[in-house]
Formats: sequence, structure tokens, C-alpha cells
Amino acid sequence: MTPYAGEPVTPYAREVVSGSRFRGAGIRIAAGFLFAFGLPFLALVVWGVWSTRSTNRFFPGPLTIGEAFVDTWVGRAFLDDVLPSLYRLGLGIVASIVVGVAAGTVIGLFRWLRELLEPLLEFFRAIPPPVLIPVAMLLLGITDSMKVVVIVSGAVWPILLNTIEGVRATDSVMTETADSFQITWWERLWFLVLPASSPRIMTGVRQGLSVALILMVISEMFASSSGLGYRIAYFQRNYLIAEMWSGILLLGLVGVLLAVAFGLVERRVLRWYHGMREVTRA
Amino acid sequence: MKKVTALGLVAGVVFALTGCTDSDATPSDQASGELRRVRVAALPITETAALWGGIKAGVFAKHGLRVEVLPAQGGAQAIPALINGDIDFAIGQPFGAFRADLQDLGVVILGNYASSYRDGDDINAVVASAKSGITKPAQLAGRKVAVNSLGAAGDVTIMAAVEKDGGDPSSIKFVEVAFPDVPAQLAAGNIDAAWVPEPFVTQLRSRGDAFVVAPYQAVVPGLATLTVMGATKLKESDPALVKDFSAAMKETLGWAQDPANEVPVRQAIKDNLELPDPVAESVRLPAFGWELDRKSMEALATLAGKYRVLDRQPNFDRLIQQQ
Repeated sequence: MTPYAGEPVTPYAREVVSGSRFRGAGIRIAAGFLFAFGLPFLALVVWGVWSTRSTNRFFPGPLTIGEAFVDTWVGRAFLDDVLPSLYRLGLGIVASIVVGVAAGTVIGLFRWLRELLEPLLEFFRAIPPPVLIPVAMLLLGITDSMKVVVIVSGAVWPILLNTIEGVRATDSVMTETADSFQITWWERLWFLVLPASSPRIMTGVRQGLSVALILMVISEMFASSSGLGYRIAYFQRNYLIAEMWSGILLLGLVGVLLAVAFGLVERRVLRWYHGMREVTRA
Repeated sequence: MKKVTALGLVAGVVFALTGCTDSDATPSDQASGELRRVRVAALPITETAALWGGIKAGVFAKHGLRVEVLPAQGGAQAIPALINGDIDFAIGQPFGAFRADLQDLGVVILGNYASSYRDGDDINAVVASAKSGITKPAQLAGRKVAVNSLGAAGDVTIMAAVEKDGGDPSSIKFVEVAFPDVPAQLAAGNIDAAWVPEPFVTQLRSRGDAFVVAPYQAVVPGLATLTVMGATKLKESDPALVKDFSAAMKETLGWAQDPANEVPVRQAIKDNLELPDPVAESVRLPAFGWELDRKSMEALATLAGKYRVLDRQPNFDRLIQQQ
């Protein structure tokens, strides 16, 4: 800490420490990388070997699917099928978050409202959203908004219910403190309630993302003529097996990218929370 | 280190497991009594009445066969089951067989099952909602038209019919809508027109929707709507079964086509489908027959090539094996 006492020793000591630490970190990163990508790579190799032995044409090898992936999705199909799908997915996720957090905050703040609505919400959450597709089709037509509504009708529930829980569980000492300082309603919402419930909200969003992805695909399998889900169903019906698997692969990649993007956002939004947990753990 | 060990362990297990896969179970030929069991996939539609009726009339038993009809939702599900040997024969649209042949799946068309009519009222049609104002095929250009599945006989023949009438086939906006959903979607105005089979054609026309065109009749008169398919593998391994089944099918279709047997055929519809009696009594039945019209199927494939629904032509010499 003091600049004088440590001065003569540090250069040498720091060099040694940082050298070994660097090497240690390098090995750790390499091991982490190997561990993260080792199993997928291993699975690919096993699959490749297996596919050369197997004659089952419904399970082609990774090379065939890789080729089909490039042929199918790079180029026009990306604009015609993938982008519209991602657009609907994005719209659905944003709408779910906005609706879920807004409604959840209001419901969570008032005890009587919560108790009034809880049975109803549990009921609607239990309805599998795909069964709403025929109804949504009649009400909204065969349009993008129908598909977005289907996505929202499924993805909103985990966000809504988690928000309610998060708002409800706001630390009572903090609430009382806010009361005694006579903080305005808006400030209270913005600086106390939302931050306090944000870990729960983020958990809800994480669950909502995977539901949204599933519903994006399903909504496109009915009454559609474009989109990722439509393409996969089309390939399946026309025995374009490698192309079908390539579509499923693309879906998986979309899911992984969503998770990565979510991870980045979450780390930023919940920086204080993770920091706090680390402190309590240490 | 722990992680590396874990990975190694997983690798070992995975490699060990792959050694035990690849057991292709062969379907056992079960004989029950003296009748041989045959599994046939068919769509749950009025056309299947000929098969149900024929079984009830004892045509298959006469040929030593006990037929089990398995409902299929479409050719896409039936054909993989056919290749895997889970079912012996499938009745489905020839377009599914075209696709299967293009992928070299080892499927052959053994005979015809049902065809559309060369003249008179056909068994499927494009019907437009009254408010769309569409009365002729050329007006379908630029409109939203529903078919049950894209990239098959429906959209191909509609495009050809529109072009024949002087419209631009590339501007039709096709959407997939299942047949039972069509009446509601038309009424709601979400689609302008739809391609539907019977009994929907009669149902829609009677409520005021407009008949536009019978695309099969307008483009390829007498086009096969359903054919009997089998796997090449079965044809090679058990030619006797294919021969017996073909003979029984031929007799059944002749029996169903005979106007004298219309009553049992319609009874079969009532027994197997939950349709209101008046519909079962009046629904228009297709022309049943075993003889394939290869020319009409080639014409369909050529049109499909023209509209880029198929990028290659199926090998008809290999695909069509009239029994």
C-alpha cells in the first residue's frame, strides 16, 4: 500500500508472480476452452465416424449437413426466412418483457390485486400456447402479428410471475426506509422496487427466451409461407433430410447466441447483484 | 485435471456406446391363422372409403390378406415408415412419391388408387370468398390463396391454371392452411381463395363462396390424386405379397367404382369418419381405378419443374412399377 516500503521488492516479485500467474491463467483458459468445446467436438467426431458406417439416410453425417447448411442458409434464404423469423422473435421477446415487467410490477405492488389475480394467472400460464394458434389465426389473420402474439402468449408468463415475486419480496427494511424518507412514488419504483426485483426479472427473462424460441418455430409451422419453422417443416415433408437437420442446427445456434447475448446483458444489469454476492461469499 | 478426466471418461463411454448401436430390427412376418397381416397407411379422408369398403366386403381376405389400416396425416409421415418397414403399403398423393424418388429413397408407385375427373364436377377446386370478387383463375394473381401444403400438386396446378387463363402465376401469394381451417379463414377474410377437396367444395359453394377453377381438370385432366406406394425393398424381398396385395387392390377399386356398390362405399365413410350423414350421402367420390396414367403424372412433374417446385425430374421408369 505504501509506495515506499514495497518499492525495492516489487519489480522482481511482481515479475515472478505475474509470470507464473500468466502461465497458470493460460493453462486454465485453455483447459476451460477444451472443456467447453471438447464434448461438442467429440460428439461431432463420433457422429462423423458413425455416419460412415450407418446407411440410415435419415441421419446423415456432419459433413453432409454442414454442406447443406451453407447451401441452404447462406444467401437469399437468410433474408427470406431467417431474418423475418428473428424479427418476429425479437419483437415477441421485447413485447413479453415490456408487458411482463409492467404488469408484474403493478400486480406485485398491491397485495389485494395479487391475491385477486393469482388463480387466473396460474390458469392462463397453464394453457399451452400452441393451442391458441387456431384462435389467433381467426382473430388476427395469417399475419406477423398473429405469430408475435403467439410468442408473447407463452413467453410473458415466466417474466410476469417472476416480476410479481421479485416486487413482492422487496426488502422490507428498505421499503420502510423509503417510507420514512418520504421518497416519491416514481423514485421509489425506479430506485428501489425495480432494482430489488431485477434478479428475479432476469430469471424470468431467461426462461422466457427459450419459450419464445420454441413458439417462434411452432407459430411458423401453421399457416405460414416463410420462416425458419416453416422451412424445417417443408424440408421434412420433402425428404430433404440434410437440409432439415441444417435448419435444426441453425435453430440451436440461434438459441446459443440468444443465451450469450442474454448473459452479457444480465452481467451488465445485475453487476451490483453479482458483486454483492461475491462479497458475501468471500 | 478433474475436468480433463471427466472429459476422457465421457469420451470413453460415448465410444463404447457407439459400438452397440446399429441394430436394424427386421419386421417379423406374422401370420395369423391363414391370413397374412398387411399394414397399410391411408389418409382419414372420404377417398379411403374404397379401401375400408373392400376390406369389409372380404376382397382382401379372399386373397389371403388381413389388412390393418393405419391413419397417416400425410405422405411425409407415411414414406419413412414405408422405407423402415413399419408399414407395407401406403396410399398417398403421387407428389410425395416424386419427392421421395428425387431423394432416392427407394419408393415405387405400384398402382393408381383414385383420380380426378376429366370432365364434369371435379373432386377438388379453388373456391374464393364472395367478398373477394374473384370469379376466374386469372384474378387469383396477386391474391392470397391457401393450399394444404406448399410445393405439391395443389399450388403447381393452380399456377398453371392461372397462367393458362392469362394471369401472372408468380404473383400469387400462397399460404398453407389445413383443409378444415379453410371455411373459417375464408369467412374471416384472411385469405381470398383456397384449394379444397370434397366435401369442402360443396360446403363452401352452398354458403355463397364462388367456384373459381378445378385446377386438376383445367391443367391435367384425369390427374391421379392418390396412388398406392410400396418400398423397393419389399418388392424385392417379398414379391408374392406385393402381387397378392396388388390383385386385391385392383379388385377392390373395381368393386368401389361399380355404381351397384355405392351404398356400401358410402356406408364405409359413415363407419370410419365422423361426417354428418347428409354429407356422407352426397359427397362426390373420385374415379377409383388401378391403372396408372403415367402421362398425367409426367405432365404434373414437368409443370412442377417449370414453376421451380421441383428442381429435377423424378426417374419415372424406376418410380412407376404398375403391377
